[in-house]
Order: sequence, then C-alpha cells, then structure tokens
Amino acid sequence: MEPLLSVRDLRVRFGAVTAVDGVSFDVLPGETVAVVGESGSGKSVTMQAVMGLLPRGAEVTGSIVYDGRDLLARPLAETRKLCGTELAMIFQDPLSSLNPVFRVGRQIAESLVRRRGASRKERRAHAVELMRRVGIPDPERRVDEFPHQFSGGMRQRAMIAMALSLGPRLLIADEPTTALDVTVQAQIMRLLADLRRETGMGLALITHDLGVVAGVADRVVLMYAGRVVETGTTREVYDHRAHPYTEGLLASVPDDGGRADRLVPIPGQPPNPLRPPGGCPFHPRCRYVVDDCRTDAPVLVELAGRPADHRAACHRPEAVGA
Amino acid sequence: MTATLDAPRVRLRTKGKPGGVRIVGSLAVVCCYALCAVFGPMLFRFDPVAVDTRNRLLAPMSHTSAGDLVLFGTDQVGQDLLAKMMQGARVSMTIGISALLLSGLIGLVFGVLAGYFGGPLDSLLMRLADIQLAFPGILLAILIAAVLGPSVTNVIVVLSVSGWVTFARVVRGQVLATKRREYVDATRTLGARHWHIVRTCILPACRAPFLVIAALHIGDVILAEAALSFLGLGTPVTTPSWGTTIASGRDLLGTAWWISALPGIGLAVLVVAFGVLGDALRDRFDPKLAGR
Amino acid sequence: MLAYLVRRLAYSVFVLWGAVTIVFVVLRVVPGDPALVILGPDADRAQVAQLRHSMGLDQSLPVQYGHYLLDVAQLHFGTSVRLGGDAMGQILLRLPATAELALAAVVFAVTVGIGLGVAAAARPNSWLDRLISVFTLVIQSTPTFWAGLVLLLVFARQLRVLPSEGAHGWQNVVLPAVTLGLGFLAMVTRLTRSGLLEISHEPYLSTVRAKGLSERVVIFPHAMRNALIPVVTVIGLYLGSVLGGTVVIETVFSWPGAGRLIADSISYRDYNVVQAGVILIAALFVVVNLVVDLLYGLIDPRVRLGGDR
Repeated sequence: MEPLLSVRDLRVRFGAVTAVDGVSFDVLPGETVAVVGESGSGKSVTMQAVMGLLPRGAEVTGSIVYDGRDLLARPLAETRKLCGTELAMIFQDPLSSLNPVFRVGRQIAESLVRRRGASRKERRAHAVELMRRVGIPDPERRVDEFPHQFSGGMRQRAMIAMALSLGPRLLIADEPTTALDVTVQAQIMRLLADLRRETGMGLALITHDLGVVAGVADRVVLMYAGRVVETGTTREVYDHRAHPYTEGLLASVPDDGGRADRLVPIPGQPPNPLRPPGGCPFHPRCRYVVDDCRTDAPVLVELAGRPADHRAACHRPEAVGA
Repeated sequence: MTATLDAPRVRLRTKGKPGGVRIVGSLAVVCCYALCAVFGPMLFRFDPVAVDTRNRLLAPMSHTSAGDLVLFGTDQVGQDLLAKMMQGARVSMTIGISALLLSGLIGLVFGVLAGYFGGPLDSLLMRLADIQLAFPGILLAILIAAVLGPSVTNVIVVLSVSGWVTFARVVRGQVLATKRREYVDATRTLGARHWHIVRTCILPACRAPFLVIAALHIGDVILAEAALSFLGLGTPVTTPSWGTTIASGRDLLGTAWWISALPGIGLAVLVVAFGVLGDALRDRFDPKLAGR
Repeated sequence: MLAYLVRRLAYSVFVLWGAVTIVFVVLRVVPGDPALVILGPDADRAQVAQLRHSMGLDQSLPVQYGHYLLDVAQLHFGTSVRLGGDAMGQILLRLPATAELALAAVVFAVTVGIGLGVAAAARPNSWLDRLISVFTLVIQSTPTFWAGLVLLLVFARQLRVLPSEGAHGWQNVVLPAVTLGLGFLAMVTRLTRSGLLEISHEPYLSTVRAKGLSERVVIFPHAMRNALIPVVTVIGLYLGSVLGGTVVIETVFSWPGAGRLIADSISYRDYNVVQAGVILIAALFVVVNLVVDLLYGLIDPRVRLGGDR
C-alpha cells in the first residue's frame, strides 16, 4: 500500500539547535502511528514541520511526501491549502488552542465558512452536527458558548470536531490527552479510535506516554534527541524491545495492575540540545553503554531474526531485554 | 496582505545590560541641552526688551547689518533666534525639572503613604487620583493656570499639581509589592520603626520605577509647558520659553517660518532624548512596566 | 452584571462630584478673591464689592459650595460676561463642531494606528518596524500645536492643497483632525504592536493555521480581537487627551468649537464659560470611560460572563 504520509530524513534546525535530526517514518492510509518520546525529543517539531507550522527561521531539509506530493519542495501556501482538508491537527492544551474571544460553534465551523463558502445559517447547523458527532452533549446550546465555559474534555472534543470539519484523511494529534484529567483521557482516546474507524482516516498520535499507545496504535515510532531510536508494529516493539530507551520507557509505565512500586524512572536528564553528547545521544543514560556508543552514533537498522519493519538504532540491541 | 505574524526572535544577551547605548546616547543629548541652557545665555546675550528694527526677520544663515552671522535667523523684533532659544532652553528646562521634582516628591510621599499604611488613607489618596484623572489631558493645568496667571512659578505649580498621579500610582504599586517581601517582615519583626522600614526597605525598591517614570514624565512636562505658553498661560513674554517663542511666530508662518519651526525642532529633539532614555531605563529596570 | 453596572455608575457619579469640587476649589478658593481675578487688576473697589455680592462671594465658603453644587446639579453655570446668554448654552452651541473634530481625529488615529501596528508586528525588528517606532517616538515628542503649525505651513501655505482655517466642508477638518489625532495615533500603534507580539505565540493562532486559513485570517480577526483588549482600555483613557487637546488645536486652526471658546474665554476672563466648558468635558470623559469599561466586556467574553480568568 502507498503511504499517505512519508517523511524521509527530515532535519529541522533553529539556529545552532538541531531539533530534528534525520527522522524517517510512514503513515499508511487508515493506520494509527504513535510517535513517542520525552519532551524535547523533536516529536512535536516533526509534526509541525508536516503541517507547515514551524516559526520563520527554522531550517527544514529532507522530504515530507503527502499523497505523492513533496510538501517541502512546494511553497508553504500549498501545504496550507492541504491543512484542514487533507491534514488536520489537534493540540496538547485545548484551552489555549481555542480562541478565547470567539464562540465555540463559530470556531468549529470557521473552515466550512471560509473555505467551502457555507452561509451563516449553515454554519450553525454544521457546528451542531460536528459537536454531536464528537459527543458534546446539548450541542444546540453549547454551540453559542465560549471556550472558557467548556470543561477540559469538552474543549478537546471541540478541537476534534474542528479538525474533522473538512473530512481530513490524516489527523495529527499532538499529546491530545496530556492536559486532561485521567478519567477524561481514556474517553478522548476512545473517541479518537472510534472516529478513526468510522472515517478511515490515518491518525498520527504524538505522546510521551507509552501506556496510551498500547491499545490504540498499529505502529510506534520512538524518538530521542531528535532521532528515531526504534520503530515497528506496537506488538513487536512491546514484546521484543531492541533499544534501551524503549526499555526504560516501558519500565516507567504502570502495568494494568498499576503497581507503582515497580516503576523505574530512566536515570539522568534528556541531553542539552545546545551541547548534544557525541556518539549515541542516549549513551550518558544507558546501562548497556560500551566504548563504541561514546564515539559512533548508531543508525536505524533492521534487526536480525525480527520482521523487516522492526528497526532500532543501537549498537547492542541483543543486550536489551535479555 | 501577505504579512505573517512572527514572534520576536529571542535576542541573546551578548554583553552588558540592555539599552546601554540608548541610555548613554540620550543622556549625551540631554547634557548638551543642559550645557546650552546654563552657558548659552552667558555667551549670547539675550535682552527680552531690546528691539533692533533694522535686523527684523532675517533668515537663518544670513548676516546682520553689523556683519554678524545669525545661524538661526532673527525674530520679528530683530532678536537673534539662537540666543532666544538658549534662553528658552534655560526657562523650559528649569520649569521641566522643577515641576518634575515637585510632582515626583508629591507622588512619592502620597504613593508611600497610600501603599505602606493602606486602609482609609490609601482609599482617600487613590480616589483623589481617580478624580483628578477625570480632567482629560492638559485641561486641569489650563484651568489652574487661567486662575493663577502667567509666571514661571505658577507654571511649575500648575504642572506639578497635575502631574503627581502617575508617580503616586507607580510608587504605591511598588510599595505594595515590596511590603509583602520576607526581608521587610524580618525587619519589622526585629522591631524597626515605620520610618526605618520605609527608608531602608521601601524607598530603595521604588528607585528604579521612579526613575523610569521620571524620564518618561519630564518630556510630557516640557510639552505641557509649551502648550500652556502657546495659549498665553505659560511664561510671560519677558522670560520666553520655547512654547512662547513658537507661539510668537505663529502669525508669521508664511514669511518667517523659522521663528516657530526651529524652537519646535529643538524642543522635540530634547523630548525624544528623554523618551529614548525612559524606554531604555524601563527595558533595563522593569520590563513589567512596558505596557504603561 | 447588573450589580457591577450600578456600582460602576455610582462610581462615575462620585468621580464627577469630585471633579466639580476641584473646579470649585480652583476657581473660588485658590485665587483668594475670584472677583479680583475676573475683573482684573485695574478694577476699582466699588466694582469688586458689587461683583463679590452678586457672585455670593461675601458668604462663607461652605455656603458658597452648597449653592454651587445646587447650581451645577441644575446645570446652571451663570451667564457669559462676554457673549451674554447662558454659559453652558454657549458651550453646547459649539460642542457639535468639537465632536466632529474629535470623532474625525479618533477615526484617523485608530484606523491608521492599527494599520501601522499590524505592519510593525508582522516583522518585529525589521527596518519597517524600526521606522514605525521612530515615527511614533517623534510624534509623541512633538508639541501638537507645533505639529499643527508645521502641517499648516506645508499643506495650506506651501502646497495649497488643504484650507488652513474654518469649518466648511470635509477638507477643513483634515488638518486639525490629523493634528489632534497624532498623539493618539502613536499610542494606538504602539499598543497594537505590543498587543500582537504578546499573543503571537498563542496556540490558538496555530489552530487557525492548522485549519489551512491564511495569515490574513490569523491576524484579522483572530489575533486582532485579542490584541484589541488592552488597546481598548487605553483608548478610553487616552480619549481624554483628545478632548483636552481640542482647547489647543482648535485655537491653532481657528476651529469654532468648544475648546477654542474655552481658550478665548480664559483670555477674556469669562470664567462662567470656562467653568461650564471644563465641567462638560470632564463629564464627557467620565461617560466615555464608563462606556469603554462596558465595551471591554463586549470584546472579552471572559469578563462579560464572569468566567474563570
């Protein structure tokens, strides 16, 4: 199957800081891909590059091919035209992502009005319909409310409704549940999964929480310090982790039993982007570190005896999980 | 419109504190003016009642009948405009600085009293400030000046009375913020008297915002003085300020533009310097004041 | 909301009372003998005594104050010595001209100011941004009446494209309105710029971009509507300067409005008219501030509905 989105060797630099360093991954139509990493790992920047949302001054190289078109080779305005209709995005903090001074309904239907020429009357009907679809109760009334009158979960539902308004084929969700209460998180994840099934759109889920990924994602892309360190189907990566960072992340996720006493945090801090360590960027925190790790940065390669799409960037993948 | 909304790039702090160049530059301009105001009238004698009809309305860069170069031209009674402007600098800056000191002092005292003691005194002073602000812009100054009549002292009084509110409000805010600090509590616990706390803890904290407001305010004072003089409510003709001089050239705009234009430029440059100084001080000391 | 309205209204009345009292203090108490101020230094004693009696100055100050408050409450401001007739009537007669001028100045300042502010904020620290900030600084540092004289000199005397005086036709309002609006223009420009820059990082602007809408839509209405919130507050405060500025600007351009009447009345010692004019302008300003306060709620729904902020 042709990938819907294909990112190849993407590099994003802000002055002296390299935020994304040679990232490649694909999203197939209708597939859910989770991009996982700590804050500062470059996962959000990668997706902002896809959407053309990076601030001016960012240096972007590599290729971002959407549906056969290389977005980086074309003017930004063309990427913008795809935003909303083909690609849509929801953000981490649904309160600050909604304009505080406009009614929620107006914001949800704004794309329909401005890009499809819907009338004011239609606008309201569209907004109500979209709000009903994402499970906002009493949409007839709430369509005229302002964002600050919505709860966190409802705001994120409104953001999702807004993203769905033009029927995109790929939805990018940037930490959609991080700012929400735990009970609401599950509801939003279920909603996203349901909508993905109904519409057949692809879903790129950015998260720092591997626990969120398990039930939802078909494949995972693990990022550390701007690079992909491991990728593969979710099942494969969970069962046959091949990178110490993946192992560390999994160890810090509560099991179904939620036995907090067994949680093990990864020691150390993420690298300073201004002074990245030489060699493998993870080596200062790695328990399997050998001399090679300090000098040679490992590349993302297939693993012996594993499926071809399971790759890791580690000098000692066999040591992990052994 | 193709403009995009860009965030300001974070400026890496390379050396020194922000605004150093602007502070030095604007202070240099202010010092030039101060020197002219102090020594200018000694070098170029200016006699407010002298009349020299043969040399009336000479254009800038021309020569008088005595063969002297008049750099800025002469006015309608044959006075050298440069000498008149230096005299004007002396008058305008004296008024500006005096009114600034006086309104600053009133504002400081009221602000400290309101902020430190709070309660009914605070309410009273702040309501008074609100009421005074009901008079828009220069209107209260015009009203008081109309009653007092034109004189240098009266202009100083008028501008001080109408200018204290900004100082009082800013100082009060600073006092309120400082009062809650731990070191002030500690000093109080050690048994210090009010006056001691105000002197050692409160006043030093007010210094920076006070300076910023002062630099921004003195330009307004000079502008207000000029406006009052223009209306005939400022300094009398015998002690001509810049405003008086500009006003006197008003009817001669068509024939002798320099009488109004040059003092106006002179005044504007000084006020720009104070404005730059104020902005730079604000950037350095108190970014929070940026919205003013 | 209603409680707030009542409280705000009551406070406006209080401020107005305070302003009226200040006028009383300035005109009746500060001069020592107001009759002498009115008649000038050359008046003889009999005249002064007669005026003192007719003004009620021979009564105690509290009694004078009481009479004064009663008069003001009934809008009695005495007769104009110079023009005859009711002092407030004379002011009101000239108010429409002043309103026209002030309105034109505000429209000019707000439209051009917002335009310049957006242009400056679009590329912070660019040459255009620097040029605009120098422009606003120079404007704010120039005496308005002097700027008016320069504009007169250039556009009326030299280029002869605009008339210098009078109030007939739209051409006449251009120069005085531009002059009166200059300071306000600089203020609006600065506030629009800083307001836009302050919110330029807000995620809701990314949301608009992610919807595939153009930068024009990002700025108008999404960014502007938020940036305007602080602008509106200061516009209210600054409108006062525009009203106060009419006294000076109307004199420069011989504009037949209330401001010039006040200035003229000062030189003719026609204090009843001065008093009426000053109190009217202060009252207008208090009302404007009240309106702006209520408008604030209209622009920012978080204030209107008392939501969490």
